[in-house]
Amino acid sequence: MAGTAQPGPEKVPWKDREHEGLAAGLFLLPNLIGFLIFTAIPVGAAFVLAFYDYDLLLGASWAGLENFRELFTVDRVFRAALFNTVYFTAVSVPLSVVLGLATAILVNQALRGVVIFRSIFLLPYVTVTVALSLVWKWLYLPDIGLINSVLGTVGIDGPAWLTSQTWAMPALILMSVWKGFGYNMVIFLAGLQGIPDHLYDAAKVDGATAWRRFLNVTLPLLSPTTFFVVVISVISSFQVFDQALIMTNGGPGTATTTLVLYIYQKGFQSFDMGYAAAVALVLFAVIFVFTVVQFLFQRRWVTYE
Amino acid sequence: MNRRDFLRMSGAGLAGVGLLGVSACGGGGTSGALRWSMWSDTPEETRVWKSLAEDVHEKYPDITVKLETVTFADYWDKLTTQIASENEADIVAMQSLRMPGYAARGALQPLMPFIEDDSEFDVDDFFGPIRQGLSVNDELYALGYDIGPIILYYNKDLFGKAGVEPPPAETPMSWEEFREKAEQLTNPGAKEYGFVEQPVFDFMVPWLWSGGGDYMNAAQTECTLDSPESIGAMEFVIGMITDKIAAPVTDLANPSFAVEEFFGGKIGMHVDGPWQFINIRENSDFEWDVAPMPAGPAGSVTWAAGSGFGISNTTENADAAWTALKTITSTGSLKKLVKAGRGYPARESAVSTFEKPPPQNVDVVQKILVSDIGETRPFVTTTTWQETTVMLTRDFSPVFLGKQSVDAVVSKVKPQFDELLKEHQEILEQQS
Repeated sequence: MAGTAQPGPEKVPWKDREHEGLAAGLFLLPNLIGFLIFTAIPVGAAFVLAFYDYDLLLGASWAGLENFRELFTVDRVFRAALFNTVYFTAVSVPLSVVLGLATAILVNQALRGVVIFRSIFLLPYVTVTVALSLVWKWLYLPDIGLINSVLGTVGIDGPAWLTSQTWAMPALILMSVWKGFGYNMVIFLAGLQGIPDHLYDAAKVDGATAWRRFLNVTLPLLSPTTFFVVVISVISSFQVFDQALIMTNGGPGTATTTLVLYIYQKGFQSFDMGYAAAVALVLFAVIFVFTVVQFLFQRRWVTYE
Repeated sequence: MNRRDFLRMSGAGLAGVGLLGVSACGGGGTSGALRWSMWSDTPEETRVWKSLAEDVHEKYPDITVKLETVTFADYWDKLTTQIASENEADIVAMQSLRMPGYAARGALQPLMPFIEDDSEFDVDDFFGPIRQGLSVNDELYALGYDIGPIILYYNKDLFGKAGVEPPPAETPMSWEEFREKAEQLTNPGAKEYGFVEQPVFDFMVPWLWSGGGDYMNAAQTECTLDSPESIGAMEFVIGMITDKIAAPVTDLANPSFAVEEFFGGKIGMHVDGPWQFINIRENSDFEWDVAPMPAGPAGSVTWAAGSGFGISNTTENADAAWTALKTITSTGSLKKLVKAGRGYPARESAVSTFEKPPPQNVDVVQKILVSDIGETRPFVTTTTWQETTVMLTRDFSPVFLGKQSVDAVVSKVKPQFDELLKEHQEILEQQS
């Protein structure tokens, strides 16, 4: 750009530059105000509230680390919720990433009507979770539900999914993976289409099989996309809420009580905002640590072209 | 530090106040613009409440009432945050079971001063259980619009088909008779069951009382679910589920699970309040009726709960709010509500308009309400009741599923319940 032979961008006078900055600021303002009021300030307040005994209607008094002491020593529901959330994430993220990648490769073919398939796979993602949860509740019904009816035809006596201590969480995971993989598919699809064809051609010339081409060309070049998908999936999995609220209300017992559901119960159903903020802070710390670790390890496996 | 100081301090509070603006200001006296918050789940309901708001303006042209509705499920979250940011409506809808939680936290004004100043107002026309239900420490905080005792619904067609004698209307049947009928009605092949229990602790309470047990002592200091009477009563109900003469619980997250099962026509008996009349009429295609709760060792004892409206503690127009409040809960207004199918009226003078049939035995409801049949008590709750219910619902769910014994769960629940009662006592002390 610095070359004198080429016509560079016209020099902008300082005065106008200032205007440009002002204009940029004004354009950003609506978003910024929204972010400050609805995200930054509440998040900041939550950090403070976690150290208070704050009954929403009675007011607050300083509690120091009392909320955290209770959380980590006596609160068995919190422990269960933490376990459940990690369980949910550990199973649902790999499944939805692999499924997202597999479907992305499928719908990346130049087939007739492929756009229709792409839309179908994305449909669950763009549908409201509450509505899907209600439908899946029906699918999971023990006697007349579709899933157990189908299992029955092959001689399997299906469990009472949503009221079973063992099966309630897998049921939520299955539904969530089904709902969420479409998003991963779209991101992977974008990544796949960014891989230049000539690399595949070169690999073919070298006699690489389809599987080899996938391992040595697709996967490495897709790794930045995979990294993004994993990070986003982990964060959103840790925040799972709607499904648990509507399909099982956290039950049976604490089998599907997730951290966010517990935050909701503490804050809004028990008026105990300070305690809820403390749980939220722990959730934040967990997500933060996971994300930092992922960023640290990305160098080992993410290749940037 | 009180709530106001705290809010002023925290950025969230400042932003909240700045955002939400100031509430309506009237000039005092009996004029002004009022806000009225209420739950509503259907356009039909909203229409009825709106017409009551318009009635106020018609009768008192200087007063306007603006109705603000959200769904029942969202109402409580919204109300709590509104109160915390001192932006609640002047007239606030309140349910008796949740009253202590809000009243003890200073959300509503005591109504007795208004009633004493108002010679034409007769508070005794409201049924006893709703007055008690909307009072905390003998202080009345709201005027009721509906009230209902928990009663037994039964599917007449199913009784006829199975050749079982239906429950008598005026004399409660014994637990043994109840169980026997349920057994006779059950037909596993056709997936027909004699009974369905709503897997929520509230619906366990009439059984507890009828069995001579209770969930806490009168001083509200100790959980009494571990008494032999309480355990026996709970085992009686759960025994019907494990013996498969009551429908299996398949949905823990649906507050209408049991009544929806009943709609299906394959359930013989169901326990619920008279607020379900309208829903059962609309959703069932079989003949049905109502009867008192079955009588256990301590008789047929049930609870009554209802809802009403109170005056916010931060209103700047309390006199106008009182005028509007007594119009909204007048006999004429309650009759309007009853005609719209919006529950059983809280005033005795509004009962005569109650539509019939079904149920044929509608008169039984009032007899139960005034304890002419069996005994009706208010469902006494605590200032920490919300948290208590969340805990009970969570820990009792394996019991309703028949996967854990009553004994085992009670030993888990009792220490938590006791702890919440301790907190409850602390909140009461703090407030007085």
